[in-house]
Amino acid sequence: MSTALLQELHQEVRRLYIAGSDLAPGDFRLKRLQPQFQQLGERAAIFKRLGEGITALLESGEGTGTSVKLQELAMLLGSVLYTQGHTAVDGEVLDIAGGGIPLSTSYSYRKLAEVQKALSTTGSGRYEIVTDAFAEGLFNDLRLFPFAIRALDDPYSEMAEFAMDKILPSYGAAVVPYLIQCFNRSGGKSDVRKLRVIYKAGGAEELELIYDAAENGADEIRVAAIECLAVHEGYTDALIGWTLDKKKLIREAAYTALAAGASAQGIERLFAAFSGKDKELAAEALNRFPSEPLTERLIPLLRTELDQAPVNNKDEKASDKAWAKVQPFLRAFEYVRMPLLEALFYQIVREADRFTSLSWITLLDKAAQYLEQTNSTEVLSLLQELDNKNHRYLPYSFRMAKRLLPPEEVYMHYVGSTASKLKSVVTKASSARERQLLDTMEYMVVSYDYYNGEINTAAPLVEAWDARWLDWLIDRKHLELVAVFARPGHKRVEEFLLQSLEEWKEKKKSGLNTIGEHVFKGLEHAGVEEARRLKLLMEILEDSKDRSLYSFSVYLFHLMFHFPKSYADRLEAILPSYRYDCARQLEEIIGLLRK
Amino acid sequence: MLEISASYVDSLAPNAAAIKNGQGLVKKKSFVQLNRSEEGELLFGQCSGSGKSNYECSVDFIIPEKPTFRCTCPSRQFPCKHGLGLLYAYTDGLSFEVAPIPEDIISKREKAEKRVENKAQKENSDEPPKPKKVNKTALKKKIASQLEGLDVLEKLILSLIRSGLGTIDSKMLKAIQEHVKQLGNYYLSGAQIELRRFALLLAGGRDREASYTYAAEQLTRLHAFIKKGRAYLLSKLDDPELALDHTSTIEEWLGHAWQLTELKEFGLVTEQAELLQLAFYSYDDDARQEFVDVGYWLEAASGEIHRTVQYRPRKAAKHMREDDSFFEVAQVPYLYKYPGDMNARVRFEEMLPRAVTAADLANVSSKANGSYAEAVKTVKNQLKNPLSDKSPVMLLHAARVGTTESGQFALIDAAGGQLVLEDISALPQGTVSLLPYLHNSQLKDCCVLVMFEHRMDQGRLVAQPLTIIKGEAITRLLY
Repeated sequence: MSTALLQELHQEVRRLYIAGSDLAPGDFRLKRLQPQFQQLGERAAIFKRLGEGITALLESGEGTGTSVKLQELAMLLGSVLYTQGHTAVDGEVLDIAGGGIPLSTSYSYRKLAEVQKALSTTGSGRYEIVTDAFAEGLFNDLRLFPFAIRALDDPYSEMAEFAMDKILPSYGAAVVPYLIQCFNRSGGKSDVRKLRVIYKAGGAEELELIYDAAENGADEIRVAAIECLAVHEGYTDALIGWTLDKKKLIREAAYTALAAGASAQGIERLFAAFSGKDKELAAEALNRFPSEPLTERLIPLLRTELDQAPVNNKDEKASDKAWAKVQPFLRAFEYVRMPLLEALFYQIVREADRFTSLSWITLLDKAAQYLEQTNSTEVLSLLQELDNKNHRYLPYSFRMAKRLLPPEEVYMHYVGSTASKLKSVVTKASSARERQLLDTMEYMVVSYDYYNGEINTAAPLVEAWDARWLDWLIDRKHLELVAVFARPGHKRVEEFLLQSLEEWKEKKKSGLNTIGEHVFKGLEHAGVEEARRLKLLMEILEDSKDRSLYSFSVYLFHLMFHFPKSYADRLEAILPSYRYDCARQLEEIIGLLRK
Repeated sequence: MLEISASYVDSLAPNAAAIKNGQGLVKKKSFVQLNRSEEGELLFGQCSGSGKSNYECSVDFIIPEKPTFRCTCPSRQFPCKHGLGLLYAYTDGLSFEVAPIPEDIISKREKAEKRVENKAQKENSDEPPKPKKVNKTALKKKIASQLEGLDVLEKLILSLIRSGLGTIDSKMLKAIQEHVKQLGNYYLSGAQIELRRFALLLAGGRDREASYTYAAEQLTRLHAFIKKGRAYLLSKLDDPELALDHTSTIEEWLGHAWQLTELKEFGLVTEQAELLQLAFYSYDDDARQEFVDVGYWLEAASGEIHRTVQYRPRKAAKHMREDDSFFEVAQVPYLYKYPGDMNARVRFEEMLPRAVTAADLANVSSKANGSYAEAVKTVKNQLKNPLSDKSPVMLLHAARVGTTESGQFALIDAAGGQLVLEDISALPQGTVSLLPYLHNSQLKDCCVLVMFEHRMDQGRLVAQPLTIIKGEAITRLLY
């Protein structure tokens, strides 16, 4: 049977369906086919019938006749064509290569469909579905395997990373051949992820492929591949080679890999880099992967740079240039701790005057920062000397002293000694120093949780700090710290807190949360009984009527839960004065009190 | 003692969330009390919930094929998570204390028994069942209306063809949708769906050029339906006593929803059948505006591949049980078969699960068709009928599953016959891309359940593999 002819007729019929059957009568292309059908019709009845159908269509007159005839012809042709489908393949059939992946298909539609949908659509809630499914073991099902691979392309990067870090490595080495199949070394982010999984799951087996990607891939891929090769000794030479690459990105990756690998040759190359143009790159690499042996060799270099630095800031360009040379060393040393380094920083602080005149404050900061962590009292006195010169460095010595010395000695050193002086002359410098001290203390004992509007205070303070601090703080009217240091049985503290509240009431009436938080926490620390505190709080609420306040802080809100039932009416009365969440919070309290 | 598996409990759940919630109750230890009856056919217990008092739930297996769930919780979902949780607690091996059956369950059982008795009495009573009274005038009126509907449909289609598919614009599509609505008034819900399917093919956002072939085919189908439907309705108009046509699908095309009693009357029932589900899928049918859950099952005795179909209208989908893959053998007391060709639709109301044995799988292999020439002939024979199901499913035996250099996949039978494997448009999910993930040994001397599709434009008949059975391993590529 001539299938080609039938197909041709099918195309013509399809054309007439699209163009409209009204064009069929006398259609010349259809007419051209007619004789062939007639000819074949002599041998096969079906062609004869089709030929008749064509004739009927060609000769159908105006009106619906054309469409009926077209339908009749199409129906007959369709039936014939349906029996003519080829089933042959387009070449020799070979076995499917590959060892397969040992996964079952034991999960049901309802479980799989949800995950498949999550991994093939966008929208919220998908990540949770996928992580839950992974925890449940659903990814052991064959049908989710291709979805897991495709998840590396997911537009939501956390999803793609979850697939990279968790799902795909869980298949083990079996996943590697399938990833290699779809890995494109000139590709983008998803191929970077594929490479990482190939390395993670395939390990040492796949180093050749990774080397190839590092040599010939797209930049992003090269960076990732170089990172993978870091700890494999055989590739140290290649890594050293890449430190000479034209692209900074590649050199950076190569240095980082060398620092991570920490091979003797690699260290040598990094050392050499410090006297070349890639100083910064090498420094960044060492910042991520600190090396003690290299630090030991770099310290003399830094020493030389410092010695060669200009004496003062007269030639600004020269001093900036010198500073640029020093900076990479500091970056490389940031996370190293060793005696040699301590000695270097000690020496730097001793030469503080010189560096101050160069305005190399950062250098001194780094040194002080390092030294603060040591345990020697000698170092402490050096730092105290430093902060005497410039109060900027007070936090380092103060924190160190707090850690090493008994509380009373700390008080005596930082306040006792200055207190007497302060009484006589209050200079600009001494008040700035005091400010610095208060700030340092605040950092040490108070932390602000701005998101929840909470203020956390570090406890216990009683043993850790000298008792005299409280009076000193009250003298300086530092409400935040007084609230923290407040203790029962101290008469002045209660007075001070109430006074602060009064002053606030008289002045401005915003910031209820902040003042309330400090005063009421302070009062609680001071041991003022709850009933009194609650009464005060109620009065404040009645007095404030802060319509701009969005919500009461957690502490104040929780305090309100303890209101006596009798306050319900009073709260109700002030309810209209509050808006937003505040109003809802008050309603909740009222509801609770009336329950 | 009751023997149930967790996957059987899964299958009783209305949806995936209910499974999760049910299992969650066990995990969270929400069950305050777990009891079972002396004989073990009744599980009951108390589960703490958000309410003041605990929910009292029970699952009664007094009819093992049809467990009865009872619970005092207010949930509209049925069975609720508490009943399911009770069963999960049981399959997890938690200890159930023996206790006397609660009073209210005894009384409820009695009532249920009475209902069954009454029904049986009615059926067995000596007087023959009253023949269903047919309101002849009403029926005639309905048939006349259906005929009128066919005329409306025909007129629309013929005018569309005269002006051509190329001229159908959004305004015309709107007019077609109006006709779709109209057909509802003529008791032609089957035709209504097919006309909507046609309109969807040409709706915006689709690649028109690719859709034209299917759209033209759909028109031919409607033409065949109108012809056959009209002849059938006319003969019925002459003789209103004429019984339903239970040999072809014309009734369904006209919109008739078969009832089990009708199927029984025509003898379309098999007693004590055993079914093994080989594939399952579910999709959202835009033309029907329903979710459709489809399962393909092998009937152990006959070797026929049947199809279960559940329609869940979009609006009611939330409250209906979503069908699911089923991994055990279903022992079915009454299997009702709908009129149809290959893979005729079946239904059953009661079912008892049992684990799949090696013998079952050996039986599957023995039922597979080993000659593609013969299989293809059968398929083509069905396809040539314009009103037939265009995607028949068959179980084939494959000497091997292979691939060509160009990446085409193929089945080869023992005689060297070939069949191309490709993803087809009738299924919502592709499967051939999974073949390379299978172990070589699974792809030799195995059975493959496939769904056929004829590619009109290419003149090719291809098949999509749904499931591969090799030895004792069933690998479901679809669901």
